[in-house]
Amino acid sequence: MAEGGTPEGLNAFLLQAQARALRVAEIATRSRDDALDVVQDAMLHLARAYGRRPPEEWAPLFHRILENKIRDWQRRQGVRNRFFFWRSERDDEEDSPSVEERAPDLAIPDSTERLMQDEAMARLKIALAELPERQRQAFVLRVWDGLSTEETAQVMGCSDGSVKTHLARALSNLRGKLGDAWSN
Amino acid sequence: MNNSTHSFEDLSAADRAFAQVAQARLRATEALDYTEAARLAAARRRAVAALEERRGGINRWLLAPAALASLVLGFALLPNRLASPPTAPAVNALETAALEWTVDEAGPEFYRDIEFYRWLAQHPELERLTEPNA
Repeated sequence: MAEGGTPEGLNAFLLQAQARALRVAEIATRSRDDALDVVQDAMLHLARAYGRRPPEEWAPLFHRILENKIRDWQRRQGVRNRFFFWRSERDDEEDSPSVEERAPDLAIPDSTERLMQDEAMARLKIALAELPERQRQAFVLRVWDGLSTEETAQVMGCSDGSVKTHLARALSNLRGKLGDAWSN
Repeated sequence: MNNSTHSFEDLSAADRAFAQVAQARLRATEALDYTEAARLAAARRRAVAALEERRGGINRWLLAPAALASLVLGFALLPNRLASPPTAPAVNALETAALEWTVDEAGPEFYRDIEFYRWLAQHPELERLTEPNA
């Protein structure tokens, strides 16, 4: 029988998993603060509910918990948006940086190239956030995290065939939105 | 949440190229700034503390039945202990020998009428009358 997890082992696991979990949550919530809250909730949930499970089980469990926390957050946001519908989009526009602020600093070498890369990443993140939930999950797990089709199916709780279908649709959607030139 | 990369061989050439570039670019965004690192470190500490608390809680749950079992055992043994006869005072060997001799010589009726025999011992003149064959 495999040995249960230790606090030190859990800390090491969370340390190597936290950055990607944050970026995944950030794409889904489109808010860094909310993403940090989601990841924190997921960490606590893993520790309380599955901390004594063998460490090799933590990765798929953490993926699943994170996805559930993101879904809970989206559900809460849906309810919240229904109640606060009067908040105009102008408020959001006022918060966003101006054209001058977003313009590259030409005095800094490579800043134009970096801005283009940032722009490409921003487009990818927006396109990812707009994907249907199952397609986004399949893309994140299979492409970003590099899990195998079988591992992805285990985390998503579906068959290998479903993973392949969701991923193919996700890639088709993303390429359609970003254009093939994006990957050059 | 690892950096392993399973092949994208089951994808078409165009999808595979896209997936490889997307993977590299997404992984390049994983660097954390100071605020993110600090908040995640705090979250990690809370998670680890929660696990430690849970492990401690389990030990406490094991202690509770053990304490209960001790109490039950104690209550079960207490009546036997209370009912057991008090230990006899120590007697020396000579007294023990005398007691054994007396018990051997006298029957149980001797002890039943011990007051009578004591009174009879004080009146030897009556002893003859008590003899059955007198």
